[in-house]
Amino acid sequence: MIFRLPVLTILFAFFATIASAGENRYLVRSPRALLMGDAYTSKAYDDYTLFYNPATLGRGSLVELYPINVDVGVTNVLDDMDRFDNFPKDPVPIADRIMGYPVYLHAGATPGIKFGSFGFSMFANNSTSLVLRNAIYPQIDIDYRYDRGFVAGYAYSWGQGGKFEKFNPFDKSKKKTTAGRRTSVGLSVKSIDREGLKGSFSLFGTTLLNEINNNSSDVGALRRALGFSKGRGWGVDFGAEHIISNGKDELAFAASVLDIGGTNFKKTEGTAPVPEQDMFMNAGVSWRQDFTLLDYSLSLDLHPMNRGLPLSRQLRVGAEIGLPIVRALAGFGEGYISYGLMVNVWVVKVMAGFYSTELGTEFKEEQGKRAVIYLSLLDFTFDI
Amino acid sequence: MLPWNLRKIVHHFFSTQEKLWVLFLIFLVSAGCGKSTDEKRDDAILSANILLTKQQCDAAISLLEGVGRDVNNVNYLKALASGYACKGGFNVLRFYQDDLPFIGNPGPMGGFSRFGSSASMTTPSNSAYNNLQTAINLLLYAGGIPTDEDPTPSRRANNFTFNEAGELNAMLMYTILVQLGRYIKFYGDTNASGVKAGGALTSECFTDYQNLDFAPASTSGSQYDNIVDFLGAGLTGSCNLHTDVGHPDLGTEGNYNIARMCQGVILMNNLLAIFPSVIAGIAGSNFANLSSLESTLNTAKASVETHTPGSAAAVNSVYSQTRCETLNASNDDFLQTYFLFIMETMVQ
Repeated sequence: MIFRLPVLTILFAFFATIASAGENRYLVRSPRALLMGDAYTSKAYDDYTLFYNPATLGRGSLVELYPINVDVGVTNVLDDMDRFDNFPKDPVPIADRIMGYPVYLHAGATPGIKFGSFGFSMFANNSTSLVLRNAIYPQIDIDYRYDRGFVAGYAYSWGQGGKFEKFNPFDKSKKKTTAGRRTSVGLSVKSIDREGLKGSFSLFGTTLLNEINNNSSDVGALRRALGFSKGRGWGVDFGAEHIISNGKDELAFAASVLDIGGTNFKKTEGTAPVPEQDMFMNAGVSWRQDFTLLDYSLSLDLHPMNRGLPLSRQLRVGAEIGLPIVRALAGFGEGYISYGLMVNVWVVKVMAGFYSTELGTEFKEEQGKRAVIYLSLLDFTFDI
Repeated sequence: MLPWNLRKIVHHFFSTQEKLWVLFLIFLVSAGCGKSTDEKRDDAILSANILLTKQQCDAAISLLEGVGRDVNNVNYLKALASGYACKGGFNVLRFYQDDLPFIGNPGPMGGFSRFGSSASMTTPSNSAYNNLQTAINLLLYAGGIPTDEDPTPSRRANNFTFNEAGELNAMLMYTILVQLGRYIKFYGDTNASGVKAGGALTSECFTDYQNLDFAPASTSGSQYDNIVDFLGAGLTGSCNLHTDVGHPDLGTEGNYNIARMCQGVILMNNLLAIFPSVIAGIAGSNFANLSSLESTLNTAKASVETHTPGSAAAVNSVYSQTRCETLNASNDDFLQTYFLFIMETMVQ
């Protein structure tokens, strides 16, 4: 009975279009997940639950508030400082210097609330990705997105295993969990207002040069001419989770389909299509042990499974080890290592680290090195 | 089959529901979707551009050719043309930085022979020249224009949007400029200063000329009676006598290499058809010297038709190599006149 919905979802997903090449552009990513190789489908029980797997809401029997959480992501320039020594001033040497160097800027916030198995989150995410490729006839690939909206989800559970039952203000992962087995399925619905511009332009071609010449004093007109557009769309996610727990040890299996069928946008401004939010199919398994003062977890994910990518690009492994106040995070995803630290002092949670993402099509084809910083304030959890 | 003890463990610790869960996850994992041809092509374009960032020309070409040519996809054509241009020694950054200052220095087109890669052509079948020509042909015949039809900008525009056609024309302009530089350097035997017949050969002209009579002045308005008359007018640099010889690879009087002469005609005609619209959209004075060539070349073309009527149809407005060779297979008068009034006067 409970397997009908996921099977139907997967069957529906087979008929959906596979997204185009390049970086996997998820709607929102958890900084913690990124520092754990993004192996998070079965572990997403923090403020980013609704962006990974709505079934994870099935763990909830508490009220959780995440009023202020922001994250900023940038290109990891520390790994490539030589590139900026004696930086040239003329256009051609500049193009030579930045050839193949991905530039990434991101800022986002996802305030939300969970009320037992119901979750609601707002989000505002702005990210820009630029990279100049092809040394023979340079192409600048631009992917700009500014998303605002909300997502609401609910999980229905059978069984009681792995539910949080006790408030611990220091770290959510150390909350005691119930013993037993539980299966949850979750569904979420979201509304997205998207501004976007996605395209590949020849650096010495007429499109870019003409538009710059014609609209040099009007940035809005320039970006519209290059394909900037706005629109609104509704998306649906589905997830499932199964947990075997004895209260301290926990084995979790999970799968989710985000933006089932791909979320399309009804255009409200611009002439080019609003970049679609691609569908992503994810599956994961995780193991966690909690020794009260020390806990650790290991997780393994495969995603996205619906884009025809090599298995090596789908494989993600994550690990974390936690002491009171401090947690160390590490992972391996798409062939690249990630690592970081999280400090959690009462109402302040700070996290920072480095990770990489694949920008090409194949395994380890083009590495996008990035750094992320996350700050959460007044994050509270209460017993119902 | 699972080993006995593993099967026992699974049976002992996992319920039927959990086993179904694992089966469901295995189903998900094994359910990777295939990609359509268009998606494979998009992947190939991205991968090729990444390979070309590292100047891995052959790998990029192999990848793009492997997914099948798509003559209607501008990004595909630009990437594949980049691959062949890479093999052909072309680089637009080098063109902007090193070659651009030589346009008009010396004028009108002698400076083309001073471009960085012009001296790389040492034989008519030079591989870099051929590869760059492959890149040019991919762009010229974009949209599936048959090779025996003229790939005019208006024909290309019929198959693409305004911006897409503009993108093709821009890349064509850069590649044709570099290719024409090689052609002029090799067949004009220019020296390091861009002066014709200053190279290693003993030739003074692009090609040998028969003393072809021009149309009578009374009916056509010709200024010169015949080729010898024009060669003596001081407009053709070192090539000023009927006895002066041309590059041996372009043939001899009455036995011209039509295909190679047509290569020059096609490069020149397509450049003139493309560059005015392309540079109109480029800010700055980088192409100021090229801009002034438009009227010079149009005047020279008009002279070709005036002196040998019929040239307009046979050479001046021909943009396809195949057509040029067909139209001039049995009569080389038009090609001789074209070379005399355009090649010899543009490169002195």
